[in-house]
Amino acid sequence: MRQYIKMKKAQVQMAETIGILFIFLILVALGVSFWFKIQSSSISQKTVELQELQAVEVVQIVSNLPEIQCSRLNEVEDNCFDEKKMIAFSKYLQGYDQDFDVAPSSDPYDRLMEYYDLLGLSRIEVEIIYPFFWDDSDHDGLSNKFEEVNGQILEEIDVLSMDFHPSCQGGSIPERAFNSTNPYELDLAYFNEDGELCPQSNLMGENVGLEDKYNDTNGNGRPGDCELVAAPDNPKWFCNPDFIRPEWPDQDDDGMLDFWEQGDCVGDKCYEQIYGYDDPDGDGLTYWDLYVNGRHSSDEKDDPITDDDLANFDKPVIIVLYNLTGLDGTSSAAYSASSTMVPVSIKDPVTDTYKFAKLHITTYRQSV
Amino acid sequence: MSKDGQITIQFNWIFLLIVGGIILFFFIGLVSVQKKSSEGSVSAELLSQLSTYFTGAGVSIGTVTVYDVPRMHLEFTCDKFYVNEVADRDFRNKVLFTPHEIHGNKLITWTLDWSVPFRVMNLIYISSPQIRYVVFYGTSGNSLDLFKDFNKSFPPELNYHAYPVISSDNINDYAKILDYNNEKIHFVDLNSPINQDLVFQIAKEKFNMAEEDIVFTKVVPSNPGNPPQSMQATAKVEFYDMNKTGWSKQTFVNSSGTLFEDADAFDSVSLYGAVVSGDLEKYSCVLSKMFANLNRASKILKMRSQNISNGYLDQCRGVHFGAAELLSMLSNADIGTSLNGPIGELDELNRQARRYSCAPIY
Repeated sequence: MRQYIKMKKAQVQMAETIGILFIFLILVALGVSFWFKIQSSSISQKTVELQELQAVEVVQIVSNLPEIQCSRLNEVEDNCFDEKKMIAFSKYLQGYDQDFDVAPSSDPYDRLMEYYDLLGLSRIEVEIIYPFFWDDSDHDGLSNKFEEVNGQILEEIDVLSMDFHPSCQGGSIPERAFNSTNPYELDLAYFNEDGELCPQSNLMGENVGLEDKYNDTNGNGRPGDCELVAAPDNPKWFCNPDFIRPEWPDQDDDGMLDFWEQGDCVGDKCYEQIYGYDDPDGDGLTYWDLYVNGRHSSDEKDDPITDDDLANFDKPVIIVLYNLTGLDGTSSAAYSASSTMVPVSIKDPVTDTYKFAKLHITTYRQSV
Repeated sequence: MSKDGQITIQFNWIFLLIVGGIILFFFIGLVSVQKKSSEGSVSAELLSQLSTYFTGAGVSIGTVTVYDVPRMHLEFTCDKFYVNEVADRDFRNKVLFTPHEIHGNKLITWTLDWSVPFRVMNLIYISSPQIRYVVFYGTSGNSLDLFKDFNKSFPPELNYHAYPVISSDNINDYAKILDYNNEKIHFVDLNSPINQDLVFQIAKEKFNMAEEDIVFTKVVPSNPGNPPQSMQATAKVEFYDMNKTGWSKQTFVNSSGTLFEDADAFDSVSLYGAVVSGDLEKYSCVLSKMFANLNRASKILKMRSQNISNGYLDQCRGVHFGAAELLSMLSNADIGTSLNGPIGELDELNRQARRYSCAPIY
């Protein structure tokens, strides 16, 4: 009996020891799993940090890429891209070797890989936001909005409707905008990082509307007449009820204003002033003679724009400089992206004029 | 009974020993894994920091920056760098002239742009205050002119001391050369009359360091009848390693089996690169990268000029057409190609473009 009790005691002691050990091991396992969890969360955090760093690095690299940078007498202009260099760079990456009219002879993938070391997996594009380039899908020389007025086909323009916010300060992100006082004059509106439109520069004190695809958001029966969304109580923000979209005075539909054909002005203002039509060399043609034909001559009236001119016109609204994302339909979930945008200016070396643009950079990284 | 008790006690002890041992080994393992991972993470952190420095340095032309870094061992090849032999990272297509290795807690970067005459890229030179450059130059003629040019741009932060060659073989004339306990010495002879054996004698007698920490770079005329007078002139560079008895000339065989005993220095940036790198194979590799970039940049500029010339009807068409031809030549240039001709012609065409109010070529 005593022997039995003693044996039981030893067994109880063993069970105790094993129990303590078991609890201890559970605690160790919990500790280890907690430690691994912390480690893995710190790794994911590090990955995000690295990706952001990579995006900033790519911005820095692109902004200083000699292949596209503006230069005058080899002096670099900061935050400026040469438009012709940009187009050549983009074509180079598409595999072109000679004239842009000659089909690409090199493999675009090989070309992209030449820059992979530098730019990694990313998409880099430049969106030119000012001056406004016409959307003209049927290439008749008339902007879509004018065709809409004349009852012709309306092409799609990206929607952008945002409130004008008087207390917003420090806006630095420019967007195209038109003002209701002079609806065809396209200005720059500045936004802050919260997406609020800031009352800056030439938009101050004006009734400002933003491009909104020419919908009739305010329900006044006239699409695109100053579609300020959610106008607050401030009466300054209401749209002009008398607003009527002026028609494009081009009776023979040749893409040239009647005024230029007739040599006439209305009162002391010519149409180009009324419509904010930009014609720096005064030959009656707007951007076309500068950007399509690349000439400054004043005899452009004798050299009408042909369909070929228009077809070849590379409307640089968005220029994709580099696009190597590693994404395809099946693998997109395995990648995470980080985007950055910086304002830049674009210089046309032929006309020596500048445009405002946004440099969009999205970097991709394989998810851990 | 007592036997049972003994067994129980013994079993408890054995059990304790085994389990205790396992736990002890577990924690020892954990500590060692943690130590390794922490070393790796410190090196990775450093790597990322250095990479940011190099990117930053790559965009600020003409600047010399001295960085304070944790004490480390950096090793460079043509394509990548290693931190503490644990972590490594590619230079991507940054072009850097670097020594073989750097120890210490300071790093110097110097950035220059390479223009031919349009800007091709920025070049980064890496060094450390622990690396000393001992430069020999002649007291007259081409070598002196070359030195004056060298002295104008080579930054003093790069720790260099220059000595005029008074006599070509008497070590007593070089009493001013002292050992400052640097970790590496790069001897540079700017085409001076100094005797190679004298340089060896100086290295051996005046510097108390291992042979592998001393290299000798010699600038020689590529055309003996026309020695280089300025950093922009074409020259050849020879690289020597030190051994017990003298200098042994560096050579290397490239991937196509060609033996190289020297390399070209076609302008100031490449000559500075030769001085900083002190290694024939690495220097030649960096030159190849430079030319790959030149080829690409020329091709893009050529396409730009072709596109611009198509839009012109006047003299500007001719100017850009001519530029496209020259750029086409540069887009196929390699290390042996003389760049001076096309550079001059492109410069002239760019001047014409300005004169005729055309879009500039670059």
